[in-house]
Amino acid sequence: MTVFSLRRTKAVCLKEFKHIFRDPFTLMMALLLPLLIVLILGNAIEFNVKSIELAYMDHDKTQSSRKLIETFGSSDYFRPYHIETPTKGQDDLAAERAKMMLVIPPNFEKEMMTARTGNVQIMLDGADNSSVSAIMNYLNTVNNLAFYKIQGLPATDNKPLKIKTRYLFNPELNSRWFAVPGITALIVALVAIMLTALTICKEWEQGSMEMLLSTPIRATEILIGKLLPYAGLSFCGFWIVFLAARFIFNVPFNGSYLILIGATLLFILGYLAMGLCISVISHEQQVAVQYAAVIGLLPTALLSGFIFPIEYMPPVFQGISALFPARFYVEIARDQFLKASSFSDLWVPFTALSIQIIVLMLIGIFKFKRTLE
Amino acid sequence: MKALLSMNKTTIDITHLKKTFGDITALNDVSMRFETGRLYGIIGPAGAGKTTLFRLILQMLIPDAGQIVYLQNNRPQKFDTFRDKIAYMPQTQSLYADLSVDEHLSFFKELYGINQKTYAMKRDELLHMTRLDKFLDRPAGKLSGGMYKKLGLMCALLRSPEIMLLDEPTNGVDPISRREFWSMLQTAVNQGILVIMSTAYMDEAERCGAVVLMESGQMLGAGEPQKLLETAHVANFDDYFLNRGKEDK
Repeated sequence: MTVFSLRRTKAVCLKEFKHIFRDPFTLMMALLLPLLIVLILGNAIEFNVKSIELAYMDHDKTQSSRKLIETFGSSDYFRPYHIETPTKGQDDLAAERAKMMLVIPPNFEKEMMTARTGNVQIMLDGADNSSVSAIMNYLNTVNNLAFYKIQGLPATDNKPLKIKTRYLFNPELNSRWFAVPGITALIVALVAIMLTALTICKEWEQGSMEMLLSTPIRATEILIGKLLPYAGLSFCGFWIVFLAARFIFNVPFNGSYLILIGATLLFILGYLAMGLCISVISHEQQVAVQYAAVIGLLPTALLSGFIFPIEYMPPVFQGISALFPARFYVEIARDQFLKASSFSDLWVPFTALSIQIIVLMLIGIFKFKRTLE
Repeated sequence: MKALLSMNKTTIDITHLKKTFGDITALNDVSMRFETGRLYGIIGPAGAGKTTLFRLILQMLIPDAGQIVYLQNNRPQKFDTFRDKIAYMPQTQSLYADLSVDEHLSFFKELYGINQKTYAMKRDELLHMTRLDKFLDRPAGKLSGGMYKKLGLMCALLRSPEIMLLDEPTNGVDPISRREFWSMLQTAVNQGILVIMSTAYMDEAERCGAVVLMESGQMLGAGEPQKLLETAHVANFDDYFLNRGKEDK
């Protein structure tokens, strides 16, 4: 009896491809879903807030107060409109017709001219946390600009200390650029973990695994034969996201294809192993789907740095996130899209990713062989 | 060479086999011996331990106590060398619903590593025997119960095994297909294959060359069916098991 037979592995692989192409659900899940997710997430993820409805009440009605409102309006970020009473403004805030209300008191210009400072009141919709932090950022800029405008000074004033901020790698701080690598991880998680777990569980559920195991085939041959097609599908999923990001959302790619593809293949391998581990825990498809969601998809979305930055997590969660390959993959992918570091700069995530994959693979294969018992 | 080998006597010798799953004792102190040239029937109601016995013989399970010795001309063999001689047909529907009859055959051809010439011969022979040649392109999921079982048998016979383990192969099959199935098994036995099958149908017991009667993990008796019935003073195996039930009470 041969230790490893390429012929048997090929036969299983071919059979698996037949299953995939005859089952529209698998194909859709593998190819259509990634595209759909990119289009939806790509359009919906917009951490940059624009066109903020701004209700204002001008009690001063002077040149200065008009200049202040003008400064707000001249940016893309605010859309000021006039209201007569404060109650109207509050109603608008409550009904989310406005995100922000500005009240300029009667002696605004006088104060500006005498004390060189003016007080205005701003009310924000605090329920919408994410826009508030964005608005607070813009307010700083508007504040400076308005000051020069009202004082009639050119914007480039001879201030003692001038801070000029330039955002490297993502000059516009475009959140979509930042999100794409995370989406890739999510899709690989979906295809690799979910479909792998499903296909192996199906074989147990149908009873065909028992038949297979009674033939001369070896456990490793079954695994390689069954996993290879899904590795291919996951890789296709990756390219769908990559191409959509580059050509639909115009995300730049500055890095090396070698590094990105290398990391992606490693990551796919890791998640296939995770799918395998799940199929070992449960031989039922339904249970496997739930496991895949909880230990596969959820951590990939929440703990990979895709939505919540790792640096701001409490140390415990930072530790937990290091258990999942997604964290290191997102780190490498993000870097390759925007920063293009060399391989030697990325040795930490690469090493971490490799260790995780080896551990997952060993657990998966070892456990799979054991469950024959 | 192959023909010479199959003339050899193959024996499976089981002694004091025990297997438990948690609190449940699936097999308790079971000893039996199977030899080439006979059709053995493992007879017993559901839960008797028939499937467990098969899985132990195939080493898919590890026994808690006792041992199984595989012999070739009375010489003990390692299971690894023995495994290639055994074909197994599990009880549950174990074929791929979306693969056709033909695709099943060629898939198992690859797994067994059969060369193209032998395969072509074997395939024709089996298709003729099972009369499935008209349904080559039909997916297994669309075959009738009897045809499905026949396809399972074909996949098992494809490798020209020396031993066949069939776990309730006729379960849920219509009477006519069952009769056909039995004559196929008889052909296999005549070709020198050691056939061990399990069944819950008591009427099938009488067709076997030798039977092993089991109930709740215990072996009740073994031997030629007629002799067993005579010693127990019953007309058939239905009565055999029914009488036992009365004795227990």
